[in-house]
Amino acid sequence: MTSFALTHWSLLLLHGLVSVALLGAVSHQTFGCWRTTSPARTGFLSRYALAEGAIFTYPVVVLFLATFTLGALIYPEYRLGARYAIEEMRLLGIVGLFELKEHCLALCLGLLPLYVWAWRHSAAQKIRALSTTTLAGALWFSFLVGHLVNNVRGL
Amino acid sequence: MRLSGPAFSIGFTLCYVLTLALELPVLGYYPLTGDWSFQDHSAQAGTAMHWYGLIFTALLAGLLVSTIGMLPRRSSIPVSNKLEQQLAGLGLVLSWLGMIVCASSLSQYFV
Repeated sequence: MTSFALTHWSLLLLHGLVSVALLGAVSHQTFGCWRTTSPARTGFLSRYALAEGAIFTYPVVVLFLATFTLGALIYPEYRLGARYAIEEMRLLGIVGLFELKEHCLALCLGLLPLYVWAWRHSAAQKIRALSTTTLAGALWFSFLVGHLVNNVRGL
Repeated sequence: MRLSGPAFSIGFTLCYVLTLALELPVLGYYPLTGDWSFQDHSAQAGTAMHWYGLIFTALLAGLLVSTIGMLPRRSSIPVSNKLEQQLAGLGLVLSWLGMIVCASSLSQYFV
């Protein structure tokens, strides 16, 4: 394996690992936003949703920016290699899903300042819950699409 | 320098989606040659990637709109919390609409 390929594989692996940490943080925060159960209740989901959502805000921002930067670094390799291979297999739906993932993540990048603003303003509970859920939904979608592309044809 | 989060999101989203939908020229990256250009060099340099240029343009627009959004505060004009929340709500709805527009622009992949 050449050092170029090794670097790309390492970046792809790191991209995947950081994205898992990001998903964990944002999922936890989203559950907390929509918590309806009494704090006194026990059980896994109740306790999972009990986490103090505000403490996840800056870790989510840092992890998002790290995942986004790593993804942007390895994106050319996808365009020059994996994408053409997937097109040759006539799996155009997967190419389209990957394009949609890129746009969703770019729009999430634009949404980040609004998300931070919502978590810093106690009166903006609804905006906070909706922006966090939007972020979580887009990130889960992107994670699954990235995983699918990697399974069909990795970098 | 403080920036307005909701205003940034509105500027970023509007610029990103309009640039994409209207196919306005943005900085392109040519991964085969490593060149960056606003002009179309795909005949000589191969595959062009405009995603980085789109993000760069939208970031600039977001920064501009968010700076403008902070001007009333610097001029001591009171900005109500309600107005700021309405701006945030608008930013959120625009990001949802943006995702729908992006999805519909890719419909050729799913037919």
